[in-house]
Amino acid sequence: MELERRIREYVTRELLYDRDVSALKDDDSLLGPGLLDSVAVLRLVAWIEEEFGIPFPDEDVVPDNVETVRRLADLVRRRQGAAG
Amino acid sequence: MQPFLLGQLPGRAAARDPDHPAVVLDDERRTYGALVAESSRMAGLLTALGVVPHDRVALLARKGTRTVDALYGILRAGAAYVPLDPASPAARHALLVRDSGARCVVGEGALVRALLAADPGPGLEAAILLDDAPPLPPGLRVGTPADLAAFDTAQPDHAGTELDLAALLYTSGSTGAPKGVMLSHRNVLSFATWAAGEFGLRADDRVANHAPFHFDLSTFDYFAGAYAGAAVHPIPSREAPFPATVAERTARDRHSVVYATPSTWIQLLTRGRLAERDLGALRVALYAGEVFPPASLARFLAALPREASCWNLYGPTETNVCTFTRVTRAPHEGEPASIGRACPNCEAFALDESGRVAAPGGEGELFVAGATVMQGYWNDAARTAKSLVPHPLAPGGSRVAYRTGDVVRVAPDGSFLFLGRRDHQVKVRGYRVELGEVEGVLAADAAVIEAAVVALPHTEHGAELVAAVILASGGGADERSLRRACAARLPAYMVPGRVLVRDGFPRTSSGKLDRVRLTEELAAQPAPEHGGAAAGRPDGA
Repeated sequence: MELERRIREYVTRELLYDRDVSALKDDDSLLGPGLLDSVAVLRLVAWIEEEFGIPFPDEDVVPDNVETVRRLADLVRRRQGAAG
Repeated sequence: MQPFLLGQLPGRAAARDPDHPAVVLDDERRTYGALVAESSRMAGLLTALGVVPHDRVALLARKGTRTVDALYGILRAGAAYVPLDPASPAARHALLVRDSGARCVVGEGALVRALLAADPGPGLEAAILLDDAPPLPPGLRVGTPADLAAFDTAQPDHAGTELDLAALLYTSGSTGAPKGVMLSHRNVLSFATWAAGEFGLRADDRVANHAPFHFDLSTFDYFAGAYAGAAVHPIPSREAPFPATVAERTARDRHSVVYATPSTWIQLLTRGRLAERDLGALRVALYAGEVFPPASLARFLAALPREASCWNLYGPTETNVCTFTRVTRAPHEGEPASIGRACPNCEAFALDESGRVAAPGGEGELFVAGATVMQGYWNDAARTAKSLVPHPLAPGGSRVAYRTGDVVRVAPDGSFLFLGRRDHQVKVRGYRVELGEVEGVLAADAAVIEAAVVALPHTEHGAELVAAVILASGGGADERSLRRACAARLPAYMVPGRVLVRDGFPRTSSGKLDRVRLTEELAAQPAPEHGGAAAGRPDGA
């Protein structure tokens, strides 16, 4: 859950500019109108690589992996597990 | 004889082959015959809700077959469509609805609901929802998908003329408010029919649609595509930020005609591995909206199939495409990009500072006249008069020419080389941004004494916007709150990636903001982590 919280905070603050998404839930889509655009996705991927020390190669940057906070957290967990 | 109007395009294609696909998006499919029927119903519902010819109707929906039904329904009801960017904040939608005087909005339920909560003004009287959304608050006449069934699938179009308004496309305005570019049926058709012929579009083409409806590149996809009776394949909005997914779709759906910004092409190449995919179906690759950086252009040309042709199309929204050139090699680094010569339906010429037509080797501002040039800016005679001037080469007549604000050099063969802008307009991912409009939003905060926005070159997006502000002490604003204010009022591509607080700005000897020095100062700021998003933290981390 800690992972979800960190991702949610980053997305809300840095990508959604603190817009009124206080109710952003871990299973809410981040890909609806006005949410993540192409630049935001690039930033998110770079942040995840650095923050969690995992690779996030271009071919994995697909809607199914980025759709929600939970999917992102699951991906990070899988990668961390694979590395450890 | 009935004039040729945009709303007739699906019917003309259906007369040739009603079962040919018009719009294909995964499992969603509209044949031209079905598009005629559904757009007829939509026109009927619009009329029943009070829309009359010459009205403006806002279109607030992501790509999809129903959105295309609505697009043609609006046109066939005799109205003009006003495409709103679904990704923009509701406050921006409301501003454009008020400015355009739209009587009706057609869109997705959630977006329409947010619009209604953001003060769209008393002129908005009706809404049509394209999905099965919960009921809207009272006060409007509302149509739903279930209502469409009651309307005739073959009702005649409203009569109109070629000079009627067909589309109102809003672009960034330098004085702080967006401006509505008025395009007539003739403007759009003149472009679409030329383009369909020039690039040899055919019914068996699969025309990818990258641009959203509010971006003028989309008029090629839908209207030139329909003129040829081709199938339009929209890239779903949800997939657009994912180059690997879009590149895979390009190959899988065998897109044969693709029109996109250089920013989009570069993303597909560098992050979507476009060059490694099977592009055997691609025969026409088009780009527009910004300069293609030479090194990337060289990679792009190398990635295209040998049989494919590549073209650079040039033209502000106000003129549609007005010059074009076939691209067979990338310019050398530092060599200006060719925008080619005038399309056959246009006239383009450069005037030097003394008002004379620039000869080969000379430089000047590019002017455009002809069938594709807009009618003017909506409700803004002053701005129209500044941009649509009496034709400099036909004095005393009634003809006008559009001042592009772009500076060009005339090549020895008479074609034009793009040198830059006369003003503070920049391109971000192909979108036009007037820096003054962003500065206006920042300056609206009471704590901001002065705001300046500069564009720093960015290898993938063309430009990155960086704002610098001088704040009153104790005003309560900070980098974060200002970025939030921008995001609440501006489209995402206009929100500065960084907002930096400064004690003062560099000045010229006359005390004016020295933009050149400010740009150098901001470019020298240490690059923020995570591609530009993390700056703006008060602690500078």
